[in-house]
Amino acid sequence: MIFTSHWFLLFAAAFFPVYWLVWHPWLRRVVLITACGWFHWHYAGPAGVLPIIFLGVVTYLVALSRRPWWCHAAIALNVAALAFYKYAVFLSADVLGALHAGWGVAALARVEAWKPAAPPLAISFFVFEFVHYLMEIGRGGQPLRRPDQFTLFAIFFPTLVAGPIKRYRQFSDSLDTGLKSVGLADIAAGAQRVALGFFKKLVLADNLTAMISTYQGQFAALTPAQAWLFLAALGLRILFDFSGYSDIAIGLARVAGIRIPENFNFPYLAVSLRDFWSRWHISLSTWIRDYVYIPLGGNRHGRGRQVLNAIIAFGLCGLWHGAAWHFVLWGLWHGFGLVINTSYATQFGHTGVWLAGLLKRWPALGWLPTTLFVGFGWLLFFYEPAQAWAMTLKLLSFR
Amino acid sequence: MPATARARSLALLLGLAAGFAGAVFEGHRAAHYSKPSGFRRLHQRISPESSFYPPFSMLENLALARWQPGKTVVIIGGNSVLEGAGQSADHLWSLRLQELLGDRYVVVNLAFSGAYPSEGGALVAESLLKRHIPVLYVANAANGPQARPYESTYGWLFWDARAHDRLLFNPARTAELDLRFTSALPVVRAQLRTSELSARLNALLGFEELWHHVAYRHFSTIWTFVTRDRFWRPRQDFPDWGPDAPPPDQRYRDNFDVEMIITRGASQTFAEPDGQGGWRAAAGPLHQADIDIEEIFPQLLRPRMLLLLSQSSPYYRDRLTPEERARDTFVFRTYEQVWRRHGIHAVIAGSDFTADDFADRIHLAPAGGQKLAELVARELRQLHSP
Repeated sequence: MIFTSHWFLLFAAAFFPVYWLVWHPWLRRVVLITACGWFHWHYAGPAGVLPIIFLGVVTYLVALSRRPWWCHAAIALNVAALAFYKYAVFLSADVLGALHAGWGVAALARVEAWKPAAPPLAISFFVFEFVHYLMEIGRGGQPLRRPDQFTLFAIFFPTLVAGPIKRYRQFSDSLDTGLKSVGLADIAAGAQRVALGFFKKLVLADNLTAMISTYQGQFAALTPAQAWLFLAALGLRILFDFSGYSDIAIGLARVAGIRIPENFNFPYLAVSLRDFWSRWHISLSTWIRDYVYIPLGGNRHGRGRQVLNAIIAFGLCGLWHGAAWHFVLWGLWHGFGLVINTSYATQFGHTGVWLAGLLKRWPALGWLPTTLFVGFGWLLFFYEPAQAWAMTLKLLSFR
Repeated sequence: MPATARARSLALLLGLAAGFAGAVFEGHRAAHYSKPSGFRRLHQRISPESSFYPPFSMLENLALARWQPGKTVVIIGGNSVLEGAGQSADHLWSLRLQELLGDRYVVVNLAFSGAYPSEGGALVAESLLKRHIPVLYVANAANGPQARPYESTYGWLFWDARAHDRLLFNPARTAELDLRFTSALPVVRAQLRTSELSARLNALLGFEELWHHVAYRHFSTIWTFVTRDRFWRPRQDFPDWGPDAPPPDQRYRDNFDVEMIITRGASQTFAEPDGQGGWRAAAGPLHQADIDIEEIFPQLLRPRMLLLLSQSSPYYRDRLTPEERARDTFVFRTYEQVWRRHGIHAVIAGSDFTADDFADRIHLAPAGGQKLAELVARELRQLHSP
C-alpha cells in the first residue's frame, strides 16, 4: 500500500509544510503540481508515466476543441488503452480462448510480445476520469483551459492510486478554493480523516486479511458459526481496506484544503441493494450510472432494455475490478439483484405489492436480505466460481 | 472561521505534534532498554513466525543487559537447530552451555528459525565487538554458498544495525552492497533502497522500537494464528511453549522419503566423482562459498567465531548407500576446511550423535542438546580463554 510506505511518509513530510507555508495560491499550485509529478514518477516509473502523459495530452487537447466526435474518438482511445494494458491477456486467453483454443493461444502470444509486464499505475482511474471529462465536454461542458488545471485533475496524488474517481468541475472549484484558503480547520479535519483511514486499513483490514488468509484454505473444515464469521470477515475486510484507503485520500486532499467526493456511506446499513449502491464505492457507482447506464438508455426504453442496460453496466463494473470471470460474475450478480430490487413491486403480482408495502413500512426488514446478498457476492468477488459455489453450499447447509 | 473552531483545530494539531514528538522520544528511549524478560531464546511468539520482528536494539539489549566487565558474551546465531527446536525452554542446550562455561561467560541465544549464520546473532556480535565487549559467536550452517544478511528473511536486522551504525568495518561487504545498489536488477535495487530508507527513517524516529516495546509490554495490534486466542495481549504474556521432542519411538514417523532426499542433498550438489573412486568438491559452489564467507564476515569477528556444520540424524544417514556416506563425509570435511581457510573455527556437529539424540532429521532432542553444549563448550574454550 503506497500510503503506508516509508517513502510516502517522507514525501508527505516534505510536501505539506512547504505547501502550507507558501502564501500565494499560484506558488502553491506549482508546489502541488511538482509534488504530484514527483509522486507519480516515483511509483509508476517511466513505463507507467509515459502512456498516461500521452492519454492526458490527447484528452486535454481534444477537450479544448469541444468537438463531440473528437471527444468520442478520444474516449475510444482511452478505453482501448485500458483494454490493452489491463484486459488484453484476459480477452485473448479467457474470452477468445473460450471461443477457440487456437485463437486464444495465438492472440495471447501476440499480446505477451507487445504488452509490458505490468499496466501503468492506476490506469483504470486515469481512464475513468478522462472518459468522464471527455463525456462532459462532449455534452457541452466547459473544458479546463489551463494545462495546470488539467494536470492537477489528472495526477492529483491523493486520489491517484485508488480514487475516489473525481469529477473535474467539482474538483477544479475545490482546488481553487483550497489553494487560496487552506486553513487550520482543513488541516485538523484532514488529519483526523487520515488517522481514521490508517486505523481502518492497518488495524482492522490487515488483521482481517491475516485471518482470512489463515482460514480460507480450511474453509471446508470450519464449523457453521466459524464459516459465517469468515463471510462476515470477508465483507468487513474489503470495506475497511477500501474505505480506509478512501479516508486517507480524502483526508490528504483536505489537509491541502481540497475537498474530494465521498466514496462510502455506511454501506452495510443499506436496507436494499439500490440503497447499498448509493453507499458503496459511490464515485464508481455514479460514474457507471452517468457514463454507462444512462448513455445505454437507462430506463427510458422499456423494461427489457432497462434490464439489459443494468446487466451490461454491472458486468462492466465487475470487470473494472479485475480481469477475470469471477469479477464479471460478481458484477452480474449485483446487476441481476438490482433488476429484481427495482422491479419486484410491479413484476411479482400481489406478493410483490405486499412485499413492497411491508418494506416501505419497515425498511429495516430489508437489511438482512441485502446484507446476505452482498455477503454471498463477496465470495464471487474473491474466489473462483467453483470455490465460491462450494463455500456458499457449505454456508447454507449449516454443517 | 469562528475563534472556538480555530482554537479546537489548533489544539488538535498541537496535540498531534506533541504526541508524535513524544512517540519519537519514547521510541529512542525504548531502544536503550527494551528487551524480552526472562529471556532464553527467540521462541515462536517473539519472532517473525508470529509477525513479531524484534528490532536490532532489542536483541542487542538482551546481551548488554547481562554483560558485566570481565565477562565474555557468547552470542548464539544460526537457525532452529541452535534456537533449540526439539527442546523445551527448561531443557535448552544453551542453558547447559552456560552451566558448562561458568559465570565468566554470558550465553545469549539469538538464533532464529531458518536463519543463516550471517543474520541476527552475527550482527549483534559485530556491534558488541564495536563496543569493545569481548564476544564469541557460535552459529551453524549448511554446506555450500551462504546468504548475505540483507537478502533473506531477517534482512531488516541488517538494515537496522547498519542505519544505527552498529556494524564493523567490512570493506568487502560494503563494496558488494554498493555494487548491488548500482548494478542489480531494477526490482532488486528498488527493494534495497526501500529497506535502507525504512531503516534510516526508523533510526531517526524510533517507531519500530516503540511499537515492539508496546507490543511486548502492553498490547499488540497484530492478529496472528499463533496468538489468535488473545492476540491483543502483550507478547510477554505468551510463554515459550516449545515442547521437548516426543519419546524416541514416536520420532521419524513422517515424510521419510522427503527427509532422505534432504539428507542426500546435504552433499549431493557439492561433490562429484573424481574418476578414481573418490570425490572432489564441485567447483561452482565451493568458489561461491569462498566469496560469500569473505564478503559476509568481518575480519575482526572471524577469530571469535565457532561455526558448526550440522549433520543429519544417523536415522537417515545410516540409510545412505556406502557411496553416499563417503560423499557426505567428504563434503562436510571439505566445507569445514573452507571455513577454516577464512580464519573461522569450524567443526562438524552431530556426526557422533545417536538417532535418539535427534528430535527429527536435524533438530536435537534434550539429550542431543546436552551433547551439543559439551561440544561447543569444549571448542569455545579452545578458541578463547578469558
